[in-house]
Amino acid sequence: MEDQFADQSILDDFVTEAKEHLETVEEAVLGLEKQAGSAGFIDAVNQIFRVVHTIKGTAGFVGLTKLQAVAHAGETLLSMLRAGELTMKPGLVDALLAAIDSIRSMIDDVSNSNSHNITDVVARMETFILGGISNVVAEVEKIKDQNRDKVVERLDAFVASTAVSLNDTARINTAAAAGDPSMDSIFAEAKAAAEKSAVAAKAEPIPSSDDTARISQAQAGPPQEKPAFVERRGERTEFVDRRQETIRIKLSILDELMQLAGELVLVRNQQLLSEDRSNPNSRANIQRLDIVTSELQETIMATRMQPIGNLFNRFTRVVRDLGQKLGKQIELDITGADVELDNTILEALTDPMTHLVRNSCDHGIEMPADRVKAGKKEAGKVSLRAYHRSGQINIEMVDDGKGINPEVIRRKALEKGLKTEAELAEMGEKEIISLILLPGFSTAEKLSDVSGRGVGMDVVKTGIERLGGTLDIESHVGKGSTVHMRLPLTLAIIPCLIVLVGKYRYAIPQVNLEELVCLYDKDVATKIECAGDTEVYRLRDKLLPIVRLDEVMKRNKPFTGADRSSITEENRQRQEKYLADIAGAGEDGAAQEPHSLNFIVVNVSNNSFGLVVDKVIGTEEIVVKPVHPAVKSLGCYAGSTVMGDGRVALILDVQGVARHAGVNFDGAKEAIQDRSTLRTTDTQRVLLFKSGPTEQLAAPLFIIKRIETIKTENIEHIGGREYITIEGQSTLILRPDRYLAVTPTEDKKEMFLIIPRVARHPFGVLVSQLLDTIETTVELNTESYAEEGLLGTAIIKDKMTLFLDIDSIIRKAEPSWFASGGGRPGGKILLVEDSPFFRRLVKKYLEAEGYDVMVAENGQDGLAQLASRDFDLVISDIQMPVMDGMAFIKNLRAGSRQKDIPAIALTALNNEKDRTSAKDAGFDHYELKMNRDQLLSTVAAVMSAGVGSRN
Amino acid sequence: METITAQKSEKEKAVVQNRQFCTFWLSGRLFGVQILDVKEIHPEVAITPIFHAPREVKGYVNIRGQVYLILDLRPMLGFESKEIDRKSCLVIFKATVGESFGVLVDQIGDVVEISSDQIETGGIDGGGQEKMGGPGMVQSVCKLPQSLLVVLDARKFLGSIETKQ
Repeated sequence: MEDQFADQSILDDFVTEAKEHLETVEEAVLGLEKQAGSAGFIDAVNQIFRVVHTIKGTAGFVGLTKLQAVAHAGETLLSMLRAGELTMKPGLVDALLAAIDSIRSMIDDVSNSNSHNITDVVARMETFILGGISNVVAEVEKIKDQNRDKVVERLDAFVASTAVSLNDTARINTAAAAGDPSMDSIFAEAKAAAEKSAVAAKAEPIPSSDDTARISQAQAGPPQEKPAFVERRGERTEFVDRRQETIRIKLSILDELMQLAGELVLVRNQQLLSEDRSNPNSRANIQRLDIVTSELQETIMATRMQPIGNLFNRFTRVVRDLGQKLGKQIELDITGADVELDNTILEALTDPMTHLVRNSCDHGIEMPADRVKAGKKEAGKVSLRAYHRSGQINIEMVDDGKGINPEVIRRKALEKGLKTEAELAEMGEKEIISLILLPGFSTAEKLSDVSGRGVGMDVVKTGIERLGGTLDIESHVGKGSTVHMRLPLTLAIIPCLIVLVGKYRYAIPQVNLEELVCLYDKDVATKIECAGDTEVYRLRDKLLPIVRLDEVMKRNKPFTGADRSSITEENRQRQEKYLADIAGAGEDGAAQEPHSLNFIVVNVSNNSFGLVVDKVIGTEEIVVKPVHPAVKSLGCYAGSTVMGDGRVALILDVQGVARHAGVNFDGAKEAIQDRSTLRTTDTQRVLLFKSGPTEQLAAPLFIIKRIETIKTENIEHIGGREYITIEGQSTLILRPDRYLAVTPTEDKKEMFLIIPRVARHPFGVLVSQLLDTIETTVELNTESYAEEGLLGTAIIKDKMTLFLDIDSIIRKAEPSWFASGGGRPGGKILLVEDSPFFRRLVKKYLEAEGYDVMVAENGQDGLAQLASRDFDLVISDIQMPVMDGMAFIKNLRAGSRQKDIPAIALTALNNEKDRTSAKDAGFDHYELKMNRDQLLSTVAAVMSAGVGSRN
Repeated sequence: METITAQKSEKEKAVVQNRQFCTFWLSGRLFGVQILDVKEIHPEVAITPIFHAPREVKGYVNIRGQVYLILDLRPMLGFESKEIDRKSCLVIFKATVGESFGVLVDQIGDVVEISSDQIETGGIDGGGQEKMGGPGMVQSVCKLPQSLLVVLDARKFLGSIETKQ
């Protein structure tokens, strides 16, 4: 078989050319359905015809017989369409598409193409061809008795259009020319010939060389030659004209050009630096050099750019086929097809995009009946949109289908054990939807042959991320879903953050960046905490594992637990020494050399960690050079780049760094939740203020309702007390020095009144100066300086700070307000709460009411206490380490010694869902941490009921 | 002149063949590589170390926009590494030898021309071989008037790094 093929290079040329043609043809075929009857229809048919014809011709020439046969049948079909002998019918486009697919697969596998099975494809087209023939037959039947010439003419045209082989044409012609009186016989000949021609494709391929020879004979031959043949041969030349605007260039040449341009940019940069600004001549030259270089670089970049339409247009077919297969009506809407992006990115996008489009058609768009029921148009719509924004390519795929149901995702995630119930309970809807991006998650309810072939969305996501892009999903049940992708314009030049560690610079791709954090002075030592063997930083309530890049670079082998521990320990000691130093330096602390810590919050597939660097230099667009193959196995680098000064800097692979350092994102979360392993635990936002001139006072922000600015002249003195009118209410003013051993309040013209959140009667604490609100880890010292009215003391900003217990101050000031509380029945309460701060606060409230309070740090501790002692009431937090409130109450209710004990959930979570789930789990009441009065009255109610029933 | 030599050597191939070596010094000893393998000699420029790489990898350098991987020949041949000084030089090899790489040497020497009968390829296996960066890196040994020239096979350099990882 092999030797039948012509020279390999001719074959290669044929393959590339044919592939190019097929690209355009498919679109045109898809357009046929819409264009039927319009003026453009014939043009479209012509265009397809030309391509198929070219393929047929060349295929015959190089000996690809099967390919030729399919093309021949296709050609016949198209010529009949063109001549109007056939009209558009359902299925015709499918038959043509099938033929194109068959041709394509044969071209892809050219050397084996002659063994492909083409029977079905040809048979499908034949059905239509035979239909066309019978149309002609009917037409000829009508005119055959009127005018012999007309019949001959018609048959000639027909024969020409259907490419009946020459022998048969000649016979028909001879029959006609011979003046055979029997019209029937001419007609029979023509019909037989046409049928034979059509069937020939299936039975035996036309030997092309003979064909060509005969055609040339015919052209040179007798005067009754068929002009139609000549015409058709001539059409081939049109392709040549169309392709003259482009030229094939090897990618390696472009890459080299790119590299040289990059180097030119460097030379330019160096030149700009050393520019002699005094010489106007050189300045003008350098400016021109600057402009030309930039343009050169951009132009070279542009050579690699391809319109995204090349990719989008493929989906017209995909969507159409899928729609038919699934019995859905789906329209594809494409915008921004002319947006250009790097060819390599475009190619790499094909698979993820195909997957997304298939997903949308399969799972997103509903069946027509369901759509009508939901009040939508019968035909679903999938839109592909591309646009530039902030230096990136944005691609959106929107469908108006049924959307993703978070409930289903939640259930799935649980089933597959990807997330626990507790984790899911804390997630928002969007977060839950993004779970489908996790490996091992497939949303397909049942496997269909369209999607759900074990390839999940995670593959799509990794595909996009590998390109330095990001992917978001948004979905609304019943309305549809949107997948939003952001991609860099090119992979060759990427924006990076340049950082310095030791003597060397590193580039961190901007796509991985989230934010920069800089800690100063004491914060360096206090804000970095230890969780297990990892350092962590609390970034807006999220725990961020910290990795020190210098340590990563120091260690050749991936970190072991021991490595991590020693790094953590070393830094802890350094920090403690630093703290001791500044404490020793005392007031001179400011004179110490500035102490700061920079870390970059980087993102690795939805997880973040902090990367500590020595210095942040800035962002730069860098030209990426690949990693040298000899060091490819090192995971920490994504490549290298040449910096402005000609030195090489390494580009970090953030994921690789995380892997090397063994960052355990889940581990850090768990470890931090297990607060007993933390040195300091409780962070609170506190208000720092002064009342007297010396002491620094503080109160937790959450107990403060607001702060009023008041004018001292407005203060009224009534019966030894001070009042001021705020919002029409007389508000009692408390001066801390009256109830605490602190210096007297400084009187100023303007002062502040701290109004607590919960109060039976309006009152406020008078303050002379507001200092700051800070987030601090409160470790209250209750021993060294204890006094009623104080929660305790702590060192904040190097000063001893008194934490006011506003509640007990008001009790001290106005005992009459609380007189009714004295007669309450006592009782034993178990308070389960992990935060030491709250534990102390709530315990105080309760004790003040005359209850006997025991405390437990978590659910497990609570159960242990319950096992050994009797209580009348349990008050428990929900979110706790080791064993949370839900598990605690379930365990308690499940069969402990006091399973019927009344229980109150005390939590900061204020929503209906949490309320319901708490009650479902077994809590009798649900109270908010902030609302002290409500809690106390609930406790009182429960206690009196409980005591009553026991009596 | 060149062509005459070439023709001559062509004729007398079996008898005498002159070969040129690019020589350099490492730890006081003379080494050489085939001159046809060498792309250029470059005075040492700023090398960016690649952490985590084997110690034989010195780092990356940029030479006219092209990034080269620089290997430290000293540890590859069993010597202690030493600080880069003014005499340190980079020998960059052609792409046919291996993908964009070069080696760091103590000091560059002359180009020496040696007739093939002076080159000894036998008897260099054995004990020294292990030390000399593994099998195959030493191609031959030549006796020069003043010293001994150890000829290295530059094509084996990159491979010896890769196997170390």
